[in-house]
Amino acid sequence: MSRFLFVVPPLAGHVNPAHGVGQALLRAGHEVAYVGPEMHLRPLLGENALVFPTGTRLHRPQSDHGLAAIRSVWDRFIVPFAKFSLPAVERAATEFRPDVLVVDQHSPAGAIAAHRLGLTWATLACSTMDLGEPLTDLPRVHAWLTGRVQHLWDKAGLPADEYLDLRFSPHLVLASTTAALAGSGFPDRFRFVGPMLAERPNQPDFPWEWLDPDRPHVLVSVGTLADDVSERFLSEAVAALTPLDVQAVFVAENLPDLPGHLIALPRVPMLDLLPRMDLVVTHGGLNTVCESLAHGVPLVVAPIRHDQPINANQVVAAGAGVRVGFARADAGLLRAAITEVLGGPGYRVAAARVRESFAEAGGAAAAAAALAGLVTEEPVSTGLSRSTS
Amino acid sequence: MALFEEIAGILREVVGPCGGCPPEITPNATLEGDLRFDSLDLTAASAALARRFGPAVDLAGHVRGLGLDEIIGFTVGQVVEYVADRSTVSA
Repeated sequence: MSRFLFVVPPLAGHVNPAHGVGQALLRAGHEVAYVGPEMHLRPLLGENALVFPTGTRLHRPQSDHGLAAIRSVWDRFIVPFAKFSLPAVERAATEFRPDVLVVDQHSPAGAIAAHRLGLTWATLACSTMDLGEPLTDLPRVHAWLTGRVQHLWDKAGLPADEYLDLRFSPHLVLASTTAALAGSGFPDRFRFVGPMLAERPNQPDFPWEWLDPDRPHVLVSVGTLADDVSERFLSEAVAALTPLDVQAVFVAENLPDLPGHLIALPRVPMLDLLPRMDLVVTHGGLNTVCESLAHGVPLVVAPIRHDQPINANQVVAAGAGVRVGFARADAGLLRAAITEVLGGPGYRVAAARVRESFAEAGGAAAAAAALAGLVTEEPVSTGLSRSTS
Repeated sequence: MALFEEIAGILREVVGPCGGCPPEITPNATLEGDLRFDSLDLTAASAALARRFGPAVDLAGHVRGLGLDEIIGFTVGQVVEYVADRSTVSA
């Protein structure tokens, strides 16, 4: 049996997939620990998880859109969080002595620690922002991004001639998508296992008796990080859904004066609710997109920032939904999109195709098997292994 | 200013009617920040400008070649300058 240490940022969309794989590894008899800000990790991982805390530093909440959002997520979150958490990540790795470090792409401190300590490490990609290098289309922006990664390498005092891109393990890159969405042509060490789901602790209740089995059901969720811009969109979505003969669940606080067939809850038991849904309206975070498609539920995607426009385009290309402009979509446009996807059986068929690709890809269990395979594959590391091939 | 008005009209088409809040198209408005352009909008605007001002006008290609801060700060006024510079069709 082997030991696996997950290095995760304090973001639900990144902790949940790590937890999914962690649960699968535990079931297979391995030991699992996590390192990250415990305040954010603990509620998502449950009280029994072994967590090495990094402490929490206030980082600017996500904001902006487009390239300004990409600049701010790197300059104000990924880079400072990596610098801040590196000592704690190294201490956790020294103490727990994992056979493999599993490093979220947005926690590059884990990759630095692995390189320093000569540990085998795998990448966990929970976003499509850093899969397939979508920014190569913008050569100078791409150079800026790789410059940020190089900056972290240099600041950590690692030898320049050993540089490797901290976003991509030379051993294994696990991604929570499949070729049905992300396309093909990736290097062999990229393993697309689909969404890595597990039963989640601390799930909220839901008024199941409220659901009318004879009406179509719509879930509206714009994620956990979009509070700065979601108010207008949500009120347009309320206006869009009010005249329709559906029931709609909004993941939101305080939507005033909702008619009886709309309900707003600050948290929902997402994985239990999705099998009852006919459509998900979302900002297009990879987790929401993949969790919906894992249940064969088609989508209306209104991307805000980061990888969301990429995910939206992938959903459209797969035929599993439509894309609308988040900043501009009004009630009429949203109603047309909702009616279109609810009414066109093709979207559901396409969503079911993606669901099948996920089932074949194997999800968390396949990710766990690939990680366990790294341990048997790799020679036992003696001191500093510098394999970067 | 005729060129500005015409380009503002093309951009207004792309931006479309917004939920009760049409963004004001001024020379200092940034495409990404103020007009909430995404890559699809840029492609649409680029195609419309090329149709009107000739194939040498490749706004999307021009913007893609800029640096991060330049793209974020790219304004309507800079679109007008770029078009004036590259247009092969009289305004």
